[in-house]
Amino acid sequence: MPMSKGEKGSYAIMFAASISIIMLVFSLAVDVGGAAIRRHRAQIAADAAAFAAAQSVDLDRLFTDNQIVLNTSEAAANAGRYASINGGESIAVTAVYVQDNYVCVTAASTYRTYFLAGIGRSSLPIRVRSCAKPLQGIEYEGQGQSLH
Amino acid sequence: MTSPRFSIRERGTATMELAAILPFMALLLSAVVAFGPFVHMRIAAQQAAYDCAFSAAQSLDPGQGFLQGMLTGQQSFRSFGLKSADATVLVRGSWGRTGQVTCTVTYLVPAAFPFKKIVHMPGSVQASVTLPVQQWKSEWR
Repeated sequence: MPMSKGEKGSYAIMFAASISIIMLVFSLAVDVGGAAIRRHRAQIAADAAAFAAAQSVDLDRLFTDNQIVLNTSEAAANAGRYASINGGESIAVTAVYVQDNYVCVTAASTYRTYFLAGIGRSSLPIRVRSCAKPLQGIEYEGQGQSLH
Repeated sequence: MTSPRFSIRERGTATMELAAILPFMALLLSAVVAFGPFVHMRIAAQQAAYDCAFSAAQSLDPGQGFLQGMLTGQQSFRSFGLKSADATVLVRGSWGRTGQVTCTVTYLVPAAFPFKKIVHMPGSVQASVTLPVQQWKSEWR
């Protein structure tokens, strides 16, 4: 028995539906994967920023009573510099502070989506936080050397 | 056995539709399948570069810092289940109290990577991290 007019279009609809689903999965894979890479890079930039900021502490206070007192402006400058070097221009350090004897940094970035823009999400916000402890230890007398 | 519902002409049309759509579907699915491991490689490269730089920055001695960075970068790759033999870890910098070190990690995407040729994957992934040398402690010396 031949198909009715309504049945004739069913294959086209099925293919259109399956292609739409596959396209959606593909779009999600690209944008979620891209956002994961971007977030990880932002986290590394925040780690580097915290590590750099932790170098800007008052050494006397650290040695005498193990208190971390930040040179705020220098720490912020260092954090911003290393966040930018490692995370690119799109990352911004939003705060540098001391918490529980750790120097902490929060940073924000955005990921520009490729496909999710089609459903109104042209970018995804990324917020990261990292803390580092300034360490005191063995002194090394020397001017340092370069190795390229 | 043929279905009594469709005429030969209608079945031919469905086959044509399937044949037309199948390569496109296969390409999309290949891209989806290949993208996961690619994300994994990118993240591994970024992490290895950070681990390398962090370790290299713990020493004020160039030789020691270089060695620490190199070994840690390769170890980091292995911890991601990737072959460190396919990775190049480059450590350079100035190991002084105001110096900074940079680790650049390049991972060659294996030739046998799934769908590499179909979806035109890049031949390698690269990541670079720069850190100031740890001023107040040289823990590993």
